[in-house]
Parts: sequence; structure tokens; C-alpha cells
Amino acid sequence: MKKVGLAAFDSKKLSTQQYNDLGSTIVSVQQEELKRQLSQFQERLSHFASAHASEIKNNAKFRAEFAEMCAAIGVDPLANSSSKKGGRIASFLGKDVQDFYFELAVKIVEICRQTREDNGGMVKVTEVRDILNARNKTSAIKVSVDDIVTAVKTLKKLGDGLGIVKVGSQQFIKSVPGEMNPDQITVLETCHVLGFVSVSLLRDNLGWKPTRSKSTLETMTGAGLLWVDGQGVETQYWSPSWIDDGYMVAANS
Amino acid sequence: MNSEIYNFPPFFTRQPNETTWQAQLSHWKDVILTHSRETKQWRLSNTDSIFENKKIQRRLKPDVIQLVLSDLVSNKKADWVDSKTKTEVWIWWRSAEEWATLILAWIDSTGQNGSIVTFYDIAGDDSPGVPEMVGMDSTMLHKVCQVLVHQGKAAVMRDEDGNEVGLKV
Repeated sequence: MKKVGLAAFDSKKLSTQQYNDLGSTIVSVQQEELKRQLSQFQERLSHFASAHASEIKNNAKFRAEFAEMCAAIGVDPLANSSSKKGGRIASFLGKDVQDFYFELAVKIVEICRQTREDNGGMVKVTEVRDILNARNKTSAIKVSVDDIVTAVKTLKKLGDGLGIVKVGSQQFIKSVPGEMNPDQITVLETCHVLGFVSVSLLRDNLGWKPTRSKSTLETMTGAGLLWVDGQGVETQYWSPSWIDDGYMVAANS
Repeated sequence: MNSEIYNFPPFFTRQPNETTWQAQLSHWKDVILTHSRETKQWRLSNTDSIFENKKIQRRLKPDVIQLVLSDLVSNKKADWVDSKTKTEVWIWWRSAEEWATLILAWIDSTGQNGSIVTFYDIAGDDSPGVPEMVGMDSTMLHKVCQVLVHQGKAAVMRDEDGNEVGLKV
């Protein structure tokens, strides 16, 4: 029976209260369920990682797909173990995966250091991959470009000293501090396409004024990013990453 | 970096950046030592064909060649044939110490300790003890022998004309 008069207000208050109670019950039930599902999921993922530890370590394709899956569901398999949250994630993903990337990162830093005099601290990811795999000829573990990019990203927390720079279709590891300006990136990209650059090439292809080209090229040469060839019709500037590509050129010629 | 650097045109121009130039020198050293080892070349002059890459039409200038040769000498990878004119070097793609060790290893393994071995036994054309040494110049052999003498492991034997002809171990 419908209440009328002042009593109607009491009833409305009461039902609002009941709705609220019901609402919070539902929410807490849902939370419980989510918690249960999450812990179950973590358990499964942990089980999966430890069951397939050797495959993750040995099979680059499998490893990449595993990392991709983790990324898709917002789990960082490489979270720093010193942070509480990361520690838990790392522990359930198994130490093997984490160690793999940390060890890889150490080797990458070493290669960057060894080649810095040649390339001014910009080295192609594919070149690092080739060096790593050539050194590890006997090992069945082949490192992929994705692995190297992932490993470099784990070092981000150490500052901006090491990072991935995209140059056209190429990825470079930059191991010197400081940003590269857009002109410098453009020069590297043009080097990759044409083999080398010169003041007139930059003028003809990009419409750069000689002063702009000269200052960019000289800065980059001074930083060791470009090598100079003084035996062409005009001074040519080459990226040392060409040397790694030389294999392809030689194979095609 | 690898031997593909030999086809990299700037490799034949002295790099203006000092750090890059040091790296370039070091690569020249590697290229020369690897090439000498592969072709068993003992002697390298400042007009050697290695300093010109015809394929890419690039050549190292004489003053830069001189710096490359000096760098080899200061790294003990080469000796001037004539330290006054400095136009040519003996190349040590293995160090004198390494050659000495190889000679001793051969003598040990063939049980010739206490006997006399001639240079011909070591590096002659007919079943040499250390095949890699075939063709080594007497100047270089002399230096290798001196290593063994200094180590107290051998004495140099001479013929009646005073020429060094072998070792007594």
C-alpha cells in the first residue's frame, strides 16, 4: 500500500538506505571475485613462466610474444625487484626472465662503450644484435631486436644516458647524454637512404641553406657521429653505421 | 666493427675529430695485421697496395700512411726496416715472444731439448717445425732468437762466417 503524507518521506529514506546497502554488497562481492581472479591469474602466469622458463630464455620469438602478452595485460615482467610491487611481479614471473634482460642490458652497455669511439655513441640496434650473436656463436640463445629494445628500456631509470632513438625506419641506441636535435636526426636518416650527405645534397633534397648544413655537419663530426671523406667532388659525411650495412651492399653488388 | 671498414670511403681520410682518429688508427692497425697474417706478409712499405682501395677509388695520403706506420711501431706491432728513412716496416702479426714460444713448443713436442736446431729446421721449406714462420726474414728471426737468449732458454749458433744459423736449446 502506498504511503501518503509525511510517512512517504520516511519510506523513501529507508529505501535509499537499502539500495545503498545492496549496492555496497554487490561492489564488495565483485571486488572479492576480482581479487580471486587476479590471484588465480597471477598464479597461472607465474606457473606458465616457470614451466616455460627455458623456452622463454632460448626462443626469441616465444620470448617476444610472452613480453607482448605481459605488456597487453599491463604486467611489467622486468619491474625493478627493489620496488615492492615489482618485487612481487618479478618473483612470480620467475627470476630467469628478469635475469635474462638484466644480463643482456649489461652486455649492451659494454658494446656501446666499446664502439663509442667509432660512432660517437649512436649504434644501430641491429648492429648490436649482430655483435651479440656473433660473440655467442656456440650458444643456442639468439638475441632479437625486440629483446635489445626491452633490455635498454629497463635501464631508463638510470637516467637519460641510454635510450632508443628512432631514425627513419632504423632504431639506434644512444649512449651519450643530451638530446639529438631534429636536424641531426634528419642527417642520419638521409645518410641511411643515400649512403652519405654533403652540403649540396642537403640543399637539393631538403632545401637547407649551406650555413644550416655546415653547422649541423660540423657539430655532428665533432661529436664523432659522422666520418668525413675528403676525396669526393665535395666533402662527404658518412654515418659509421654504414659499415654494418656494408655487408648488405657487398652481398648485393 | 669489422673488415667492411676497408670499403668505407672516410676510412681513407684522416678524421678531424681526435677521438675518431684514434679509433681510425686502431682499425688501420687491425686491417694491416689481419691482412698480413692472411697473406703471410712480413714487410710493408709506405707505398703498399693496401693503402689504396681501387674499388672505391680512395687512397691514404702519404703523411697519413706515415702516421699509421708509426702507430704500428709504437704499439710494438712493427719495427722500422730502416729507422732513419722510415719507409718500410717489418710486421709482427705475432709478437717476437709468441714466435719464441711456438719454437720452444715445437722443440719440446719433438723431444729435441739439449740439441741443436737450425733455422732451416724451424722455418725452412722442407717440413718446417713452425710452418707459419716459413719466409720470415733473418732480421726478424734474429729478434725472435734474442727473446729466447734473454729468457735463458737458448744460445744462438753461428757458422764460420759469423752468420746466425740455429739455436742450441
